[in-house]
Formats: sequence, structure tokens, C-alpha cells
Amino acid sequence: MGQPYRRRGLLGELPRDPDPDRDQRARFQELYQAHFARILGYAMRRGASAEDAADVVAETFLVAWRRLEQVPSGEAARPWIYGVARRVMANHRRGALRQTLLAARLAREITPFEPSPPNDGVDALAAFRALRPADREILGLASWEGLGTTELAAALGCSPNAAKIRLHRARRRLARELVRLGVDVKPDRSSGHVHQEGVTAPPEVREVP
Amino acid sequence: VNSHYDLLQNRVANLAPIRDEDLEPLTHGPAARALFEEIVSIPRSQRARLASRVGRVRGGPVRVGVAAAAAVFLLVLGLVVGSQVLRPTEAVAFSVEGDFIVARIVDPEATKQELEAAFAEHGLDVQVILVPASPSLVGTVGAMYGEGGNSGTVEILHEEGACFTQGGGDQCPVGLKIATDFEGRFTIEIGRPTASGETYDLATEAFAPGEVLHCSGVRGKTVREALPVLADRGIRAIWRTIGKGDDVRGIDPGTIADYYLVDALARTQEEVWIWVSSERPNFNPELTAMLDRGC
Repeated sequence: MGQPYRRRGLLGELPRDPDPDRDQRARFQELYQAHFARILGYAMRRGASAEDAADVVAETFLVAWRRLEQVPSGEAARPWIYGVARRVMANHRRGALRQTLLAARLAREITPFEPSPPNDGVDALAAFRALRPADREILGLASWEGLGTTELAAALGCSPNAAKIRLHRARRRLARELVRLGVDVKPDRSSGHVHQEGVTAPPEVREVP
Repeated sequence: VNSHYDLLQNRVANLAPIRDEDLEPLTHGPAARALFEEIVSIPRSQRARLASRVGRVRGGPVRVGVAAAAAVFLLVLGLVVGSQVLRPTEAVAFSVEGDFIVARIVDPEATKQELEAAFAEHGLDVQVILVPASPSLVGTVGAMYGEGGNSGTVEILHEEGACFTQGGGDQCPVGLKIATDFEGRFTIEIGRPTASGETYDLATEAFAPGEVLHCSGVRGKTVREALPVLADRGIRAIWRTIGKGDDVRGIDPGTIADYYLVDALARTQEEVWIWVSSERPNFNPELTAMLDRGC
């Protein structure tokens, strides 16, 4: 493996000063580089301003640095760090890096990356916005961040079964909102479910105790 | 069903206003690099290091079980031994406002056990994590997270003017508002006092009321003017210039003697990060009024 902390990575050459936490630093660097854009995107897709998105990124990675031992290795790190970002956003964490000048500087770099209007219709956006925050969050994690059921469970801090049920219910409520707004959703005629004005309602799922 | 869900999934995917790929170039930007250096310059908390050691010591379920049993025993012992160990009614004040239970932390130096017992007395399953905090944030809520079950909500209770936070200005997070129908478990982080040299997990403007540079008069002054005041207060400053990726150990104040102090963040009881600018700052009067309260 050599000395990974001296490799030229995306962040450039790292200092060669004596550092007692070199292994942790190298591991954190990998984590940071792999997830920086993801966490920034996570915050911006949820309507955070450039300043708030910068805060979320700074605070999320500060938590990851401080709790590096708890960060799962490999792909499992991804839902873990989304879980942290989610809590940072939801709870207005006020940590050491929040709204510092450093975050402000990052915000200035983010500003040119203004989110563009969605590709889908206005009605679809209205249907999505009409959902409860918890529904929007799980639908976003599944569709925007691409998390599967097990990863959703890790990010949300619940069992995979609960995540599956929540996702199903959120999709069902989205389908209803789309129907309510008259958005055309092509039916799945092979499923045999009842059609409502051209829309197929997904089946009920019972919660497993 | 799957194709229906795929369709819905695509619908939601199309609503994404921005993609991670679009943001990827920022990973290589100077601000991202500076942020990385800033974060790794922050000492990892005692809590994290302790967790690491415990993780290595614990060899399996038997040891964990013993440790858990010991913890429960100690808690029960504390409850039985009595008032000097647990003072739940003094740690948190509870009241009911409409559909909410209002829990206000009244003892800023309460222990984890005292705080958790206070919530438990009101039927609330709350885990408390005490985090090292700068003086004005001791006893305030730093974060709250957890699953709320399927009903009710938990919100942070704010009180205007009780402290200053960088995220909320003078809206001080002094407790919690918990829906009376809330069912579930959650975790809160509460600021605790620190020992000398201990790094704050929860920090605020060093110029804010209760903090080390409050009423010092150096905000907006030059480095040359500020140095004697800092020395008089026994403060070690780590100097930074705005808009530059300075070395994490700071820069020589002699090279920025005519720069102006713009921002400061308390790091430990003795150490403050101070940002300076070559241009005279034009401060927001409202922010200045908040920071100078009581001077």
C-alpha cells in the first residue's frame, strides 16, 4: 500500500508533517472525495441555499471526521453519511463549522451551480411538494441518491422492512397526488390492479409487526 | 407493480434540480480543499477516541452483556442512593403548552444521568449525549436526532437572547417541544463545560456574550491593536486571512499587523481562530448589537 497519505489525490499533495492520525486522515480523505459532491447535491436537491448547503457539507464531514471509527467501510459508508447529512439538515445542527467564513467561501463556489428547473412537468413537482416531508425524503433518497432498501434503512435508522413499507406508502401517496392533479401516469395493465382515471393504484402493503 | 413503481421512481428522478455529476468539479476546488484541511486540523473528540478504545476492548457478546449489566446496575444504584446523584426535577423544567410538552434545561451542568432521568420521569425515552461546548452554549441543545415513531413531533425550543449561535443568531436553543402524542426514542446533544485545552464540539462567535472575546473591543480593530488585549486575556490566537487557504496552524500575525479582525471562533478555553481582512469591515448593525449585548 505504501504511504497513501502522500499520494497526489483529488485534493493535491498532502503535507508531510508528522501527523499522529495519518491513517485516519487518509481514510477520511477517501471518504471526503467520494462523497463531497453527493452530500452537496443532497442538500441542494432539498432546497438548501448555497450558504446552507455549504454548512451541511461542512458539518456532515466534521461529524464523519470525529466519528470516523463508526463509519462503515466500503459501500456501506454511503447511507451512513447520508444519514448524518439528513440529521444535520433536519435538526439545524450548530456545530463548529456552521456559517464560518470557510463555509461562506465554499458557498461562493457553489453559487454558480444554481439548480435548474425539473425535467418533469409542473404538476409532478406540485404533487411531490404536496407530500409530507418524510415521504419526500424517502422518495428522494431512493430516486435521487439511488439508495436501495437496505441502504435506506441505514440512512433512516430503521429496519429494512420498515424502510420498504415507508417507501411503498410514500410512492402510493405520490401516485394519489398525481391522480388528484390529473397527471398522466401510465397504468401497468399486467398488474391487474384497479385503474382510477387511467392510473393504476399500487397494492396495499401491510405493516409487519 | 414494479413497472408502476419504476415509473414513479422516474417521475421523482426527473424532479431532481441538480445532479451529483454537475457538482463533481467542486470536489477539486480550492474551497473544498481548504475545508478538508480545516476539518482534519480539528482534533477528533475524546468521545470518538474513547469509543475506538472500547470497540477494540469489547471482544464479544459476553463482555458487552457484562458491561451493559454493570451500567444498568450503576444507574439503579444511582437512583437508589439518591438525591445527590440524581436531581431530575432540577435538571429540566417541564410544562404543557397546548399539544406540546415543553422541556427546558435549567441546570447547565446537569449530568447525562440526571437529564435522562428527568425525561424518563415524564415518560420520555431520551438519550442524552453531552458534548464539550464553549461557555455560552453550555446547557443548550446542540443537535437532536432519532426516529419519532409514527406520531407526533419533537422540535427545539428557542429563547430569544439567552445565547448567540452562528446558525440562529440570538435564538437560543434552550430545550425541546415534544408533541404530547409523541411515541419513540430520540437523542439530543447538550453542551457541557470543558476542561482546559479541551476542544469544543459546540462553539460560537468568540465575540458573543459569555464568550472569551465578549466586550474585548477588538472586533474590527487591527491585529496590532488586538494583540495586547489578547495577551492580557491569555488567549492564543490562530490567525487566518479571509479568502485564502491559510496553513491550518495559522499565519504569523506580524505579517498582517494592519489587517482588521472580522470573525472569531472559540476552539478551546485558551485558543481562538481569528479571521482578518485587509479591508476595513462594514459590520451588520443588528449582528453587532447581538454580539455587544451587555457591553
